[in-house]
Amino acid sequence: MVEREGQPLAALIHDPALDQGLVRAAAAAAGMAIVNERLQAEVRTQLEDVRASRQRIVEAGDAERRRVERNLHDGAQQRMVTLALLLAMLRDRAGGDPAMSASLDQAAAELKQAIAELRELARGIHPAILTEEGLPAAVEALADRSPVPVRVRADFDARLPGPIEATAYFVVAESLTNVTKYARASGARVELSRRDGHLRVEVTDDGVGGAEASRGSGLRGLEDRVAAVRGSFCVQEAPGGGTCVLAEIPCDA
Amino acid sequence: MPEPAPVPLIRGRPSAAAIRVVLADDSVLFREGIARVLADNGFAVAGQAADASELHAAVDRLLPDVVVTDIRMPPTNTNEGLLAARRIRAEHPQTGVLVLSQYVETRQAVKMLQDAPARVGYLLKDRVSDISEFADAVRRIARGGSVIDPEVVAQLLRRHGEDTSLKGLTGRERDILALMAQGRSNRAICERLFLSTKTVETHVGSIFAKLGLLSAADDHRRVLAVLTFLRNA
Repeated sequence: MVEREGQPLAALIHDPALDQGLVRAAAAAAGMAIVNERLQAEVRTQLEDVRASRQRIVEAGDAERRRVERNLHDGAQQRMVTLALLLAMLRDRAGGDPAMSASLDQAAAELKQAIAELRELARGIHPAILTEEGLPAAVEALADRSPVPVRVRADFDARLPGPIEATAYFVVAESLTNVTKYARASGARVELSRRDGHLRVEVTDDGVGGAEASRGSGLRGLEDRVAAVRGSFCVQEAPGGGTCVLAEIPCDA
Repeated sequence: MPEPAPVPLIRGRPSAAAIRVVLADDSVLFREGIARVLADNGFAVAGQAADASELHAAVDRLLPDVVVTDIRMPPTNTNEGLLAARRIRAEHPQTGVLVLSQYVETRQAVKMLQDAPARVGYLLKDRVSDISEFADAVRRIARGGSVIDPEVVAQLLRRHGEDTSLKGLTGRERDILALMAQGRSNRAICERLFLSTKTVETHVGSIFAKLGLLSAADDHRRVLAVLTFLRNA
């Protein structure tokens, strides 16, 4: 009988003629191997659990962001636009009173600014166009809004699972933010392609380079996000200088 | 004795020829506000709808000149307004559609114009608070023109950055290009920039020549040509 910490682990069937010392040694080795195998299986299961829970946390976070954006859109944003309209109507009627008109103009200008700020906030939380039209369209929209000229190339137009679209989107969004903030680039290129069951996202700029995934919470956060959908992420020097951010995310079919 | 306040001619009294408008938005308060503004500016608000199916029913029944609709409406709160615009333009060629959106999405705006180049508009929702601009947009659509939000045009121009194709344009030509892309007629451009018709016409000709575009007879075809150029170049 092979035992471990007083618990029976396995039965060793052997020829009674064998040397007892040899049998004990064999039993001990077998016991060790079995325990090792069990431990490894346990670690594998735990790792799988952690991966799955990390993915669930990211997905729950995305769902929450979508909900917040929808609430802002249907609630505060809508109310503020209605308020702007009501103010404009008041302003129209106060035409004869210069002091009142000036105050209302000032209020309208403040409100306009607030609406614009809230819009940017809501878009940053979750872009509606990603849910509505998918990754290539949402990335095009990022390019449309980027102060640095961005070329986008996508070799597909199909929809991908939500968590993958969201992850890829945030990789591009954060990378383009970095390009604008730090790269001193004159242009950037985003390439989205699907190959061998993977989505490949590449953001390259022609700026000064020097970005590292280990430094800066933005890139670190991206690395974590990509890992949560079992993808790989790296930041490297682009061939002509500049920075290249590359993420590969497994996606079926 | 104080002078009596001048009485506006059309204010609050739609004439027989008033532009008939149907409004669609899921917020009653917003709809009521728009209805009030339009009525005050001489439009006839023929009907209101809270979602896409109510909108289609109202359009079929009332055959308005222009529909003003939010892009996001029940049931899915995504792009009902765009789908409705496409369907209305296909089924009722005489009805124009102005889509209002909380966000400016260049791609949506350009696509909308490509689907139906005339009698359509795409504006940021808070533009309605500039009442005269908003009223002007509805009128332009009723007359068969197109209206594109200045922010869409600004994004397209910015995206070009130091692009070679636009580099050859003078500052004045760039201003005029932007106004054309918003769907403004030559006359409107004259008024805005305080230029003579002849000067604007010359600039427009020069812009088209420099960009290698064929000049278009209708204003709305011109908008599409300019936007497509900016989008693809």
